[in-house]
Amino acid sequence: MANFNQVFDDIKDQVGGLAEKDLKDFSSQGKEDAEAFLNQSRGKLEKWMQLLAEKKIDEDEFRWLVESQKAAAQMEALRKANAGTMQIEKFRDSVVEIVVKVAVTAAIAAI
Amino acid sequence: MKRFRKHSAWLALSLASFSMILGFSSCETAGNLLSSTRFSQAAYDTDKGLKDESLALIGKAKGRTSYSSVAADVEALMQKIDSAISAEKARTKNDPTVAQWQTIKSQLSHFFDLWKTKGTLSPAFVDEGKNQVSGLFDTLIRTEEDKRATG
Repeated sequence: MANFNQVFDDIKDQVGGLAEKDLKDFSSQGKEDAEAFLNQSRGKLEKWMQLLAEKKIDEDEFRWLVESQKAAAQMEALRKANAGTMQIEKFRDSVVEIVVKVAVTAAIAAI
Repeated sequence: MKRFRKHSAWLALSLASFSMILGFSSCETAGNLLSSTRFSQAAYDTDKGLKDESLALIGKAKGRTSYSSVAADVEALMQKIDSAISAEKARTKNDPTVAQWQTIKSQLSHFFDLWKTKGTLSPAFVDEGKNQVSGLFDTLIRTEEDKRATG
């Protein structure tokens, strides 16, 4: 198998070019996201490419593994989205509590 | 009484401003005003149970087991996953978890489709696939655990 670093750099270059072509206005963000994904997956990609080269897995299986790595990145992004939603909701709840407390106190004082 | 009217007007104005600031519409129910992304022990147990079932089923592929011998188990598992997705959809403000379940379902379906198409799978692929699916479920479980903070 060709040197993995060389293959990895080639993948990065091609993904960068694809981001510029397909994402246009968002190419910078898209490129960063793709690079982050590739860097996080580097160890696994190396292992899976080795398995593919040794014919221990076939191309369909290799493709499933790469897709599963993308799924892992999506799962983590969704986990972060959930955490963000909870922070907003917590803030909303706190504001509701303050408004109710202050308003009720003011209303009672006015009677 | 005059003082009360003045306070009531102030109160109404304050609540209206508050609603606008936080993006609430007058149509929203009181229930929606309070957060509902709470930790669910039942959901947590389902996540863990289905993780174990999924990994056990994937593990059966390692010995080059034919798909036909596990087809009924696969169907039963996918039905349980559909039920879990329905249950998660019934929880309000739970879109990220629903999307996570759909991601897991998609990956598992694709895995079982490969098994079905090929008849048997490479042992090395089964090992790697099992690790990947385990990781997906772990993220789902951690997401439910995160909800303890508000629950």
